[in-house]
Amino acid sequence: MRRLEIERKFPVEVFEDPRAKEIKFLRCIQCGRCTGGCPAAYVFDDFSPRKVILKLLEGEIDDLLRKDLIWHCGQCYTCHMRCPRGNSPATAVLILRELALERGYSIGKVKEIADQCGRLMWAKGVNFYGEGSRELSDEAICEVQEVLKQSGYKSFLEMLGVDLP
Amino acid sequence: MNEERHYLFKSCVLSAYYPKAEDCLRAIFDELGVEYVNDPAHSSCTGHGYHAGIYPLKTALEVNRRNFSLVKDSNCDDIVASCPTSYAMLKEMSTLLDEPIGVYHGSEVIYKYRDEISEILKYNLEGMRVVTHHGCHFAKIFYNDVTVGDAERPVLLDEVATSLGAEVIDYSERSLCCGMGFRHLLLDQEYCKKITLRKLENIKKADPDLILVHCPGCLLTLDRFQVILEKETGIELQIPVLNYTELITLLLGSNPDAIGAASHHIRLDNLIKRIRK
Repeated sequence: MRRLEIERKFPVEVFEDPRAKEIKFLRCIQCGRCTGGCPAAYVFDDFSPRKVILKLLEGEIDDLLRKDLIWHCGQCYTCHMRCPRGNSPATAVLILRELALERGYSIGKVKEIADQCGRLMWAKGVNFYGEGSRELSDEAICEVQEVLKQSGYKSFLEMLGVDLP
Repeated sequence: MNEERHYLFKSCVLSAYYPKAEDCLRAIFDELGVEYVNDPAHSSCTGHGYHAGIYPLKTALEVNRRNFSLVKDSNCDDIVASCPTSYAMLKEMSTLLDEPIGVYHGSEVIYKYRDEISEILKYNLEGMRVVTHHGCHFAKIFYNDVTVGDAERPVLLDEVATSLGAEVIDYSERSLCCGMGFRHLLLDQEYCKKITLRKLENIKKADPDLILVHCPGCLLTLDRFQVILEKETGIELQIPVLNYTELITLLLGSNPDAIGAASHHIRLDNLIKRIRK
C-alpha cells in the first residue's frame, strides 16, 4: 500500500473551474465506491474514476490530459451520486476533457463527433418529420450562430479542424 | 411546480428519432388542460455535445443564456423539459448563470396528474408486467431533487405505471446506465453494447411486457441496440421500449400512428394489440 501524497500545487485550471466550486475534490478518501458502480470501469479495464481523482490530487494532470483515460467515462454520474464525500469524478472528467482539448491534446477524441453533428440531424435543429416538432426559424438560427461565434465556439471548432456548413 | 404556465423545452434526440413521442407530451397536456408555451425559437440545451466533450462550458452557458431569455420573454413560471439531460443541463446552467428558474421534467408533471389521467384512460395496463428505467441525468446529477423514491431508486415512473394499471416488477441493477454514454453512442459503441446487454439481460430475467422510460437517450439505446445485440450475440431480446408520453397517449385512445409506433426498432404490434383488446 502506498500513502496518498497530495500535491501542494493543485492544478488551478481544474480547481478554479466554476463547476468545481461545489465539488469536494480534497475530501476524497480513495474508498473506491465510485469505481465499484462505474459502467465504464466494467467495460474498460484501465478506467477507474478513483484513479482519475487520485492523479488529480497528486498533480499528475498532464498525464490525464494526454492519455485516453478521461475519454472512457460515459457521463452517467453514478460516481457523483454515490460519493460519500461530496466528490464528483464525472465533473472532473468534463473539466479535464475541456482542458485537454484547449491544450491541443486528444483532438481525435472529438473531431469525428463534431464532424458528424454538423452533418446530421442537429445541423439546423430540423427533424425527419415534416410537420415539424422542431424547426428553428432562420432568425433563430442566425441568433444561435451569433452566440456560437461570440462564445468562441467557432474558433474552438477551427482548432479541432472541423469546418461546419 | 407552478400550476400556471410551463415553458416546454423540447429534446433534440426525441425530436429526431421519435418525433411523435415529443408531440405526445403536448397531446397529453392538451387533454389535461395543462398550460404550456411551445416556443419554436429555443435551441438545443447543448447537453449531448457538452457531455460528449464537444461543447466547452463557455459555449453551453451562452447558448443557454439565450434560452433563458426566451423563457423570460414567454412569461412562463417554469421550464418543463422532455429530456433528463436538458433537465439537468438547464438546472446546472441556471445555477452557474445565476438565473433562478424552476426546471422540471415532463414526467414529473405527468406524475402530478396521474390520478386525473387514470380517470380518463380508454385502455389500461391490467395484467401487464412493466419494468421502469429512470434516466441517469434525472436521478443522479441533482440527486437531492429526486422526490419520488430516492436517487438510488427513483420510483416516479413506477408510480405512473401503477396508476395506469400495470404490475411494476423489479430487476437487478435497476440504477445501471442504459449504455448510451454520449460520446460512446456517437463514436465507439463498445461501451453501449456491453452496458446495454448487461442492462437488457437483467431486464429479460424479470420477463416484462414492456420497458417504460422517460429519457430520449435511454429509449433510443434500449430500443435500437436490441436489434444490434440480437444479431451479434444470438440472444433473443425483443422487449418493447416505450416513452411514458407514447404509452399514455396510446392508453388515452390514440392509434399507433399517433405515437409513431413505426419509428421503433422493436415492433410494438403485439403489445398494442394486447392493450387495445
